[in-house]
Amino acid sequence: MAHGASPTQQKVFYVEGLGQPTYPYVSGLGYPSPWGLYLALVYKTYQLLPISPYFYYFLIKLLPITGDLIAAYIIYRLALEYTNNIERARKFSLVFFLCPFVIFISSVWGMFDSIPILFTLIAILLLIYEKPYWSAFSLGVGILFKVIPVIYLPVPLLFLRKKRGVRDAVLYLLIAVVVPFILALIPIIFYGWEISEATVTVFSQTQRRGGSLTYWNIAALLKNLFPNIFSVEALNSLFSFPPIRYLWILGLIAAYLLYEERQTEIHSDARVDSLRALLEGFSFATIGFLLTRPFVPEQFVLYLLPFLIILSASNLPKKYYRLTWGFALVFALVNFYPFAFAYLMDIEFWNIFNYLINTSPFSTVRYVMQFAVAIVFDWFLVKLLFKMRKKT
Amino acid sequence: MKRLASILKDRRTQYCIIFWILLLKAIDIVARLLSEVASLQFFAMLGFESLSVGSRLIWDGLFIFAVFWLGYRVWNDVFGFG
Repeated sequence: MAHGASPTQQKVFYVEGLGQPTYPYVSGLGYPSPWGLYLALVYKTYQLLPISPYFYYFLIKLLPITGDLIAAYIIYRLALEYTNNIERARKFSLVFFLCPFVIFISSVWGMFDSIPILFTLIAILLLIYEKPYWSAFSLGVGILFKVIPVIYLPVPLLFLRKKRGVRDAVLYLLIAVVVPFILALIPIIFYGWEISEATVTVFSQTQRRGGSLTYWNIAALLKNLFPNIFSVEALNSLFSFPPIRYLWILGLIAAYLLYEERQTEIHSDARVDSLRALLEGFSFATIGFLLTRPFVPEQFVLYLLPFLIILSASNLPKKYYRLTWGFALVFALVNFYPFAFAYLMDIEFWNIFNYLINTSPFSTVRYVMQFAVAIVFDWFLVKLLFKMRKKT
Repeated sequence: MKRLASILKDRRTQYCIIFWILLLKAIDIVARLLSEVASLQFFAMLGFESLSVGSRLIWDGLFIFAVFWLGYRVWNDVFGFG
């Protein structure tokens, strides 16, 4: 990418001394281009200042960590609006910033979900400050980094339709869709990348086999136990079946209806009530998505945390926040992510772990544990949803 | 189980499920139409052209069932019959 190649190209080859020496290449990025462009900038910087590979890793993680830091500040602003108490707002902000799971995702793994989360939070803040078009712009930028925030789009639309009318809701929709579209198009045109290749990579995210932090990961366990019955072809066929592949759309429709129901229950026009309704709406959408998507990477849980920590100021017990990140962190550890970095110490160390996690009976134990944690987590999410729905 | 049954009996839930199935069919049709254009072939990825014969049969059956289900619901809710 640092030489102008598309971030979605199928093979990104290993650069001697940088990154994982365990595979000759890794697959292209499944996101719109900004993250790839940032990585290119990091590589260029490292070429100018080749101090150490760790400096390169630090630069990669700098953006997600900065995202966490600014997100913590926005949480402070939102919590201040919600509680009108500086001390409590500071505490919520710190609880998020120092959350072990947040630190793990950004500082250990280097995954950049904190950026789309940050822009989503800014969008909420601007909505309650009655700046809907800037809010739409911010949500659009969030979508540009990772498509996930698009699941929140109907919530502000329903909110604006009630508060300001259909015209503002339609304008919001237009801005939030056009902004990421145009900004994504600019580097594609500038560098002459294949638009079809870029789009296929992003679209491919809708067609993934079940796995990670969801009950659908039973597929991996069954494949491990009965490889002749649950073959790759059989599982591909199962997960390409339309009602399973797009079950998350049903989950989101249900979440939006819940939000609409909650919105009509609130008769006050006070800012704090609007904020609570929005936070609940964004939480419903996240929970609906996490419960129905066949593939749920651990980092998606991050999207729920800011809403839960602010809502814990009033009607939601704090244990729900703690358990949410707790389950996700346990799953990440079971998934052996910390050992994915073992090559930094010794390549042989990595080879041993890689052999163990992919060889029976260790692999079976790992899949059983993954399924157990995912089932408990999903059951917990259902409980959380009912708890949030009950409170008025 | 009882709770699930009561949720499924709810009229609004039924409309949600029907709408969802019809929406999936719409996604399939739009994806297929767009992929007919040479430069937009990648849209085929969102559709269901790669389904096996068995899956295709079940999916088509489900879609037809949803159409009849919608007819039944409208018959009941709009015209008050049934």
